[in-house]
Amino acid sequence: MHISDGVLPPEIWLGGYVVAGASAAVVLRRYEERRLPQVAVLTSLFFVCSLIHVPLGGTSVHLLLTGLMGIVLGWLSVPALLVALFLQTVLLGHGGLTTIGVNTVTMGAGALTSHWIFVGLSRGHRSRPKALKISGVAFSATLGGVVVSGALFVWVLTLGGGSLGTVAGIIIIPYLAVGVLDGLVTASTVVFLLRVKPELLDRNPQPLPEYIE
Amino acid sequence: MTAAVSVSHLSYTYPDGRNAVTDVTFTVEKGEAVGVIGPNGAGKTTLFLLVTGLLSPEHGEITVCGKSYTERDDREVRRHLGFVPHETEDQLFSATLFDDVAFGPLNFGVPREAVRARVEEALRKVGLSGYEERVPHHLSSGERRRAALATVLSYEPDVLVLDEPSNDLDPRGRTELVRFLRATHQGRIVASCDLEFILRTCDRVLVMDSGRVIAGGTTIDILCNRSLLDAHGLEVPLGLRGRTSDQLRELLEAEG
Amino acid sequence: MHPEIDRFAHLDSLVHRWDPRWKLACLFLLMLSMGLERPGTRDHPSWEADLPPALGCLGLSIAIVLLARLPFAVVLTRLRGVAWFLGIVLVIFPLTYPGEKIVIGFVPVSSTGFLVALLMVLRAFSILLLAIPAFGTSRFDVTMKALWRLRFPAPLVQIILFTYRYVFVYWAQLRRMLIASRARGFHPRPDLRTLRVAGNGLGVLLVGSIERTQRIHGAMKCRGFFGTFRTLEEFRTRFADVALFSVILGAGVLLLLWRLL
Repeated sequence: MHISDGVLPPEIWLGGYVVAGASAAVVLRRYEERRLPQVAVLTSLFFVCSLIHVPLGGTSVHLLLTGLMGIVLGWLSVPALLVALFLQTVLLGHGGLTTIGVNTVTMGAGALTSHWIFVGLSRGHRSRPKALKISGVAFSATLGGVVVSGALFVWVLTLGGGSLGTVAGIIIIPYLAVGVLDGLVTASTVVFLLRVKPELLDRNPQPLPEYIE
Repeated sequence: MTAAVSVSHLSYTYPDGRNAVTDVTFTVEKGEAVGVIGPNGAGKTTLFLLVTGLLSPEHGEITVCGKSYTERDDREVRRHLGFVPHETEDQLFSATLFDDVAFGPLNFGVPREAVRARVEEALRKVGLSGYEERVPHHLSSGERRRAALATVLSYEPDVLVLDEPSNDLDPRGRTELVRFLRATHQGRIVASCDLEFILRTCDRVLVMDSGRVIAGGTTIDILCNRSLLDAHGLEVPLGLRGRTSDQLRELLEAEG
Repeated sequence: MHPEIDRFAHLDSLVHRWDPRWKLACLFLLMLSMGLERPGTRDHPSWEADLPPALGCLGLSIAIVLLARLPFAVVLTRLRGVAWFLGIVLVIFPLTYPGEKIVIGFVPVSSTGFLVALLMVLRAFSILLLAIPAFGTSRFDVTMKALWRLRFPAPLVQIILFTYRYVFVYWAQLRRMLIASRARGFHPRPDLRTLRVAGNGLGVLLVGSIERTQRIHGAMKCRGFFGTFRTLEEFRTRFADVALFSVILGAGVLLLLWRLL
């Protein structure tokens, strides 16, 4: 969920810049420069897909896809989200410029949560897990991430004082509904990936497949 | 004299067992124009990936101008080859055409002052003068294909390795490409399903099927060998059917 | 929807001719300053002290947009993205803000709450309006290269440029997929089949993207890529660049001081 400019006190969004920037730097430092195109292409895909209008309950919403990002990208979700949010603000005007850091932190925390839940629940399977099981894992992972993102979103807004907490409470409800839809779509996608390219779901130190050399 | 590209007993199998290349041997001398033809799945693209060092062979050797691909910095080898893959979106990955065409020269150590001239020259050769500031997604598919060629011309490799270069080009564009290739001194290895194009641009041809080189010879001889082509899923273009080698030779000479 | 920020990059204005490094540095600092507020504004805002400087900020942003000769209607559509969020703020704050309320009709409304919300909205618009003059008056890659010259981390710039390049590829691919599926009679419905189709579609794109990065990496290696990106873009500072920087940032600083005091 994007927090707009102008509503948060400067300490918060300045702090957001610092945390988001530092996290992205730490993550990117672990990856050789030659692999950056890989991150970029995937970020591009997620960015474009998150722009699809999905009709829901009379209006149309955008999928967040942070769950899927967390599952596929792992730690790289953080710089990916930073870039995606930057492009979203600059190209489309969704979101805030001063709040890019804060939004990256709230959504990034959600993506990482999804990643950890997915890894945690799918560990211990020597053989390929069944489709039903993996879709359940993916759904829970996504929903867990959505809840964490949502909680952080509410918390940050409440820190802003005034009635921002109430605003957050109102926005969070449709947000959670979208999260459920997100979970279903992510589950369906993960089932497909399991069938076609399971290496993408293998969690080991490298979240993205090494190039064939 | 060192051959431009020398391949001997090359073999490779993908991890899932598909599209192997088996025991391929051939040589391309400096300045030679060699075509590679064969049905889909014959292994042409795999062969190109091996020749350009993007895949490591299981058996056999590849040398480019006498040098082999090593683990470390391959730039000394790669600067001799200009690979243009089938999919242009993979070749044009920069924000502007200038950046894409300058990419090669900048990496291969061309001095910065000279790079701009190289870019302009390369774009001129493919008929895209003035396109430096254009962004790839605003180009037509034909323009993208020509731009992709420019990205390798700018660092002046010894051998061009072209995978389906005449795709997306209209007949005029194809003729211009033919004219350009015939005029250039660079050696080339061209894979194409367009046999007429191969006839016009390559002196010699290798026929591949199921990962092996089945036959090789002058383009005219091979294209007149109806039974050979039939046996490997290739078809002589309508306009060339029933012609003898002498007739084909005359056609080519008339083209100039 | 057209994700092309630099549709207007070919126009001409003072802002367009401004050296991108100076432009970005100035507008970014201006944006930061507009996000700062007098401590206590949230608890005890004052109509006389806080509203005029906020309007002044908005005025400065509008002036910059006009200086850049950008079609105002288009700029306004960009504000639509946050309009709903701010709309909720504008409605909720007066109704729920703690403190004394006046009664309008039958509804108790807090004028303090309304003022706080209004100030937030003004702040938000002032900041967002700057985005287009900042990023829409030069070609996107030029803007990014300018950021790099301003010591923005190179890996991030490279990722952004690359991501931007392939946004258009995927945008087109996605449209083709949607058209193709619709042509085969597929209509999105809230059912299991639609879910499966969506998951498959997303999966196909994901797998394809991994394979695409393989191929791109191969193409880069063949052209000698060895890890470091290089660019030839040159920037030159003129007096006008510094002058414009000083004037605009100066106005921003004055507004900031006005707000704080």
